Amino acid sequence: MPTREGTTTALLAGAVFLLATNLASGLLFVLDALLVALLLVGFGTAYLPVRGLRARQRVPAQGVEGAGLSIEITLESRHAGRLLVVEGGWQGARARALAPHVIPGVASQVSLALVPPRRGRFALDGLDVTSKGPLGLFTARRRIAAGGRITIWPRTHPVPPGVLAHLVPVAEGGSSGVRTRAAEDLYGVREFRSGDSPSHIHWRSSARRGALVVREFERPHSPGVAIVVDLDSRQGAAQMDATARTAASLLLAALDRGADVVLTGWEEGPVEHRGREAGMDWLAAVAPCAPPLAEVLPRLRVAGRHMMVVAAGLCHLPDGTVLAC
Amino acid sequence: MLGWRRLVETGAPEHSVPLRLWILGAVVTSVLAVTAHDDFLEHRLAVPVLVAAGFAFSYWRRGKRNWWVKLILAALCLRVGWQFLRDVYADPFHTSVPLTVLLLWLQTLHSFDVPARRDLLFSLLSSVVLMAVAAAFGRDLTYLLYLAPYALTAVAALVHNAQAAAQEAAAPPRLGLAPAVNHLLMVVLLVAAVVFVLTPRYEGMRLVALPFSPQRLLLDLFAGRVFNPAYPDGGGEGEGEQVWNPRGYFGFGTTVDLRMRGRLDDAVVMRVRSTHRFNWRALVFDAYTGSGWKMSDAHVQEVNATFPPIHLVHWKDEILRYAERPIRVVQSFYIEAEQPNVVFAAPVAASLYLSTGRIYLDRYGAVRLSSTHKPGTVYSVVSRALVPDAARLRAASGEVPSELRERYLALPPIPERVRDLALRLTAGQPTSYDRVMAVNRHLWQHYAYDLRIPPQRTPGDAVDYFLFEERRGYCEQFASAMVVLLRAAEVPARLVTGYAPGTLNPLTGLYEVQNSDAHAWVEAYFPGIGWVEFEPTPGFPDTANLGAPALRRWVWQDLAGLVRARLQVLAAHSPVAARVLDAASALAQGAAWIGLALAGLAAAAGAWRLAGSRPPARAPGGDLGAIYLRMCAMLARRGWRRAPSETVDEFRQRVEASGPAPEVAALSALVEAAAYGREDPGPDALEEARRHLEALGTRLRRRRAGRFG
Repeated sequence: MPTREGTTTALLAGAVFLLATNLASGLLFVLDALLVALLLVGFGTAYLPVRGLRARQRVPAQGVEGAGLSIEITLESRHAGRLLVVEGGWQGARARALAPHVIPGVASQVSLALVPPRRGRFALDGLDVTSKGPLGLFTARRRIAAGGRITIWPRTHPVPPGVLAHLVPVAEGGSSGVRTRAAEDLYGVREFRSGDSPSHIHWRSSARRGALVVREFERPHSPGVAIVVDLDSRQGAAQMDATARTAASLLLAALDRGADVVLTGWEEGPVEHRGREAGMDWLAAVAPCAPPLAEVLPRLRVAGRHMMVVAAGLCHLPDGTVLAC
Repeated sequence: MLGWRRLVETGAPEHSVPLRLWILGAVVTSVLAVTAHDDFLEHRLAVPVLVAAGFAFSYWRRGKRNWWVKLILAALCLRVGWQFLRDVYADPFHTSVPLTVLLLWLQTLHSFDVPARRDLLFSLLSSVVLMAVAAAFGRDLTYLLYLAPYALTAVAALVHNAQAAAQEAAAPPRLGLAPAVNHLLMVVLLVAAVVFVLTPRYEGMRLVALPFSPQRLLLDLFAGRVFNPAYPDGGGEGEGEQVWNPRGYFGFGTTVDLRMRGRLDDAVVMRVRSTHRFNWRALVFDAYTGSGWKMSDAHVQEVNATFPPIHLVHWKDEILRYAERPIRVVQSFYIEAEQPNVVFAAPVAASLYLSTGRIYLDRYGAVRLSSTHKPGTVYSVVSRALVPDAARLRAASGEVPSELRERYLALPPIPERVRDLALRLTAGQPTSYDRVMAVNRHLWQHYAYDLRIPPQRTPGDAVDYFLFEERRGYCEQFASAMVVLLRAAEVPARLVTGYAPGTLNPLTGLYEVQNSDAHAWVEAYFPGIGWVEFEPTPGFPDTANLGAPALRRWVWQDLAGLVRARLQVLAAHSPVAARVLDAASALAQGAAWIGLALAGLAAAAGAWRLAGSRPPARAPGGDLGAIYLRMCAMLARRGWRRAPSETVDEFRQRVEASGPAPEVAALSALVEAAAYGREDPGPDALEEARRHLEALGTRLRRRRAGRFG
């Protein structure tokens, strides 16, 4: 479709043609030919690059609410093009990027930088590619189907030491950081963090993931922790979000300290999730859907673990203490 | 209120210096193209300098409100508008010049107030208008010297504009645009050349007021006498033999001396814009003297008119009695070198647009002026021309009026062999037209056009010498021989002088007439029809081609001819094809329309495809998102800048921490509901969001920065 500039040029070309005909002026026909040529070239350079375009997008499996992430897009076109605007993302989180040049037969990389505004599991929309060509006289749009899913984990924040003490009591072996491997069992691997010993880097996993990964060790008899998430259906979306963020913060803090953490709640029945990815994936999508916590708490399997209930963004201890996280 | 503000606001200030410079280049080029014309030379320096200064001023003040600048500009606009009205009132027949001056000054004033991109694009648009004005005034290829840089600057400006728009859509890396502009310019110019050739040309010049030089008070120097400035005695019957002047045709006087020898130079003497291609007729000679021609009747009729045009009423024997509708030939003559005081025009001139209100009309239908045509003079003529075909001329019947027979069959004593040749050539020819064509063919086939012939070596009749001795010669000798032979064969005829059509410059659309295009040809009289032109000189345009459209129809004409020819071949072998021929022939005649229709269909199909491939309409959340972003921009100007990681709700909380902000809260809630709610917000939500935005804007303007409440 013509842009405002394109419409104006077309109107001018029509007016100049009428004037040229009426005045029988060859020079006006020359000017008219120039305007028409601008329109034709503008149309071609806007339409052709979009017509023969293929796109692939590489999406990270997870992102964090409020933390920037990038979607890598590869464009391939049968025709050269300039100034292609690529728009992608999912409902509520869309971003645009500019592909300055698209060369036939050469893959062009475009990176969509966006900030997920909210946790959840999302199916990515198709890519909208818009080309106005280098002259900007026409707009050609095309939607390219490029599937993919992404899970946005809830945002986390530092857990106050007071809360952390309740969550992973020191007397039962909780300590911060990665412990030495002497007398400890291999628990798993996790991403390298500042302060980790280079000797704990698990090179094979690092090579596979493309990022440094360190071994995580655990004492044989680490204490168990249960984080109960209140999924009371009466709470609002904002409250649920706050609860998910607090639970996520507690989960990561506990895991960092080597605790055996179970994340539990009541959906259609009791659910339990262990480990970082499983827990965070669950928290990404939890929704208020359960009866009041008082009804379901007795039916949750938390016996033998330190329990902490997260409700309305606050931490509730079994003794009735409420802590702000 | 918001809508009105959106209408009058021109957008954010444009910071791109390259975009400004390229548009400035386009505007200055267009101004220079216009002021290259003589009528605007006084503005050639001032306007470009002021435009450049205006662009610099606009860039300097782009972020300011500039209300005082707008006031001054408005006052100056009124001033130049008033001057325009005064100029038009003073001379209502020449509005193009004051109108162009008005455009130049409006462009200049506008240059002082182009803070935003929209203003700059408007300047680019007005530069196209100025280029069109320059083209309309242009008469030679000088215009192309301006069009080439204009194309460059316009393409570069469009590219930078597209880049700036893309930068708004998504922040790009820095782009190198020079190769893009170069390649695009080459492609655009190539496509323009193709478009120029393919553009259909239709008959135009249906103008209310044709161009002519402003009227001047002139002394009537000649009182109806013909004066040729190339000759000391004005081309009349001077004492002794005339001296050849290569810069002026000797046939533009009261006599034509067939003993003159020489070659005219190729200097362009006039440019002609015309709807049709004709010889530009000047004078008619009816009396053959044996050595030349003269006008037997020197009487002229004075015609006065206060306002143009001057409508001519011709003498009785010049009035055409042809029943069919004549061709309306509109011509504008742009004089480049001084010309005799006669009006050159396609026959028969009907209306004149001249710089004088007094003319003289002779009995042969030629028009004489009170002064010679000076260089730079412009005049226009509307003629009603007849181009009857052979069948029509063969069917001409009736008696030639006796007064015409006396005047146009008269011959001095001529050698018998000339009369014998005339009778031999026309023997057995049933009609006047056949007799004319027999003589015409004889001259074409047996005599050569040669400008290097020596002076007549033996005394005697000039026509006899040409026909039987020299057998080659000038157009005057061909025309004289044809007239004498026709008169000897009882066909009334006379000699006409003027200019051949000249060379059509396809780029300017003007015929360029040179001194060497001066020409003589023949008019023969047909009862019931009138005077019809014939071309006796080989190599000059056949009269059968005269009356053709002046501007060639380019490919359209060729396509139509090609299709017609192919169908005729088919029709010769197939009766069915013969039936199709008529319809197809009509289609071929309208090839231009068919081409246009096909182009329109192709464009519609393209638009349909584009429409089909467009993404579905965005969710209303998208529109709400746009409003939300405008709110964020509004708040950012007041110190609340939303961090990339901040959610809508967190940002609302932070803003509300400095005071109650119900509009922000309401708009944030709407956006959250649109993004995460179970149902799409309806149009009411959009309207509500706009209201909140407007209310927020009003409140922010009244409050101090960084504080609500």
